[in-house]
Amino acid sequence: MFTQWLVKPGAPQYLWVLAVLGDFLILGGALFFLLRMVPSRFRKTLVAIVTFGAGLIYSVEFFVPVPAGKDGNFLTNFAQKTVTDVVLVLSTFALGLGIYSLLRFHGRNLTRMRPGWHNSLALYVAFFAMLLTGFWSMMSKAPAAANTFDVLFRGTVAAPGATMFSIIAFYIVSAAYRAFRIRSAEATLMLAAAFVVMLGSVPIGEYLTSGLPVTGFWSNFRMENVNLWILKEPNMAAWRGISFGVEIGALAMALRTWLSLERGSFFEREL
Amino acid sequence: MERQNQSRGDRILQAFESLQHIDRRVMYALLAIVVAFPLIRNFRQPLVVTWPVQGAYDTIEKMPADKLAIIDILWDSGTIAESRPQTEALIRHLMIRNKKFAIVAFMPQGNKLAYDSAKAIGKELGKVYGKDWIDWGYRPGGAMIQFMMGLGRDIPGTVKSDIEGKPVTSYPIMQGVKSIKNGDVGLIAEVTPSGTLDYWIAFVYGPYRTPIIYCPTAVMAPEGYNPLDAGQIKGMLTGMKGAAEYESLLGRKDFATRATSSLSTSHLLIIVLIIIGNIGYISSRRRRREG
Repeated sequence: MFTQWLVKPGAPQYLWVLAVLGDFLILGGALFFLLRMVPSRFRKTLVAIVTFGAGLIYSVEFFVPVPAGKDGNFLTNFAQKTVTDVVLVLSTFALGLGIYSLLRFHGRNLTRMRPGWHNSLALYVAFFAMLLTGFWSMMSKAPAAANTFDVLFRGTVAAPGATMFSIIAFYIVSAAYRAFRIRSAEATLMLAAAFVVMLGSVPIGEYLTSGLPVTGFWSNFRMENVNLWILKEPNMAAWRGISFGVEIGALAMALRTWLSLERGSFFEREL
Repeated sequence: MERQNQSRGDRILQAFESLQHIDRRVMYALLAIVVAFPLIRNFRQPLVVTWPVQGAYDTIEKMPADKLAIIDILWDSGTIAESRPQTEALIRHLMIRNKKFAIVAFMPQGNKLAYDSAKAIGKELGKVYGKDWIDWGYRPGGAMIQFMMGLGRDIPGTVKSDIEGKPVTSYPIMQGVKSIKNGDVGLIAEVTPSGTLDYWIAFVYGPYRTPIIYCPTAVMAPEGYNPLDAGQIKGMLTGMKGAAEYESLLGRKDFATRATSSLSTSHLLIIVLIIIGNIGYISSRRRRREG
């Protein structure tokens, strides 16, 4: 809002940042204040009305027919542009709220020197280092700015992310070793299928049957083809069954959320 | 004598039984070795191009040069080993064939990682940003569906600005690009470790029949076979091996080709460990039965 009024296209980036922050603080503060004014017994009703209205937009937009020669019905433009912008703004608010909550929690850890306070300190240092170098690289054309951000991004964000995920491989090896036991006929069948898929998914498996012809009847027994057959036939049948179940469950869940019928920790709490 | 033989057999069974209790630290060490060794020694292994990968390759080959391809980035550093080689293989292919493409990321990290990859390959192949390729930047995942629907009707109005914050309409690559409905998009390639393919199928393939290529991580590949069978996606690159197959189609031996050797050795290790564990299990069952 303020961004549109105060900052003209082509303005320096810091003005955009300030305007967006202004938007966030002023509009967010006003909205928060108004919501706090609502008596607590009506808050759930308000949330239920907003949830129902939001869900209704897409349902109506989907089901109302499109007039001949037009791109969409009377709601299409609103649903695809205005609602998209609202979703983006809400996501940004959620981001701000998340940052505030995280820094507040770890700030308390730090000021009270609770056990593990050094982890909170690491979070603060990492957070502000990335934030400041990010803004610096965005606003400055100096190579040092982009390089500093790149080094931090690759070294402290991307590399640990990849490392954390790759650790799963160690657990998979250990879990596969313990779990795959031929206790029954079904378990043996699963083990055999797992062996074929594991071998068929890597070049060494393909190498084992590379002596078989590439075309004709015997090509069906090449490891990569047996692997693809397992994935394309039995796997697909099982996946379809699972998908039907999941989608029906998702539909029920969506209806419960849309109509605010869901029960649980959030829904039964005093707002 | 019979008693002696029995106790010897018992001792052998007992020794085998211990095979089902290998210390996990030994397994971790073995895995680290078998993953690192092929990367250091650079083993060569034969690679067969499977039909889903060939399908993806052919789709790019057939895409008209006046249309725009969209590469959807839904990965971050967690799956960089699989997703980046896939992304780079697709980008390289599009650039080699002089086909225009746009990158859009629904993950903040993937946004920068894919941009850096495209920039490096573009520099190598002499491609110009804004003319041969463009990066539409990051879009929050929460608005993914609205974004896809918006692309269907109005691309410049939905995308608005690129990764550098400039209006997309100011770039030559976007001149004449109106919407998917208008037939301006010739391909959508989704590189992802998550199950978001259904959205592209429902909101883009369904109404406009735009060809889709799916590039999941290996664990997510099983869900791609249904749409592949139905013709809703034209090809699939399964994890790192899919990327390696694609590299071989491009006549290159990049990271995925080298790293598939590590995949081979690690899969073999798992199979050997499972067999050893089962020898231990059978021995213990037999010993219990005899005892």
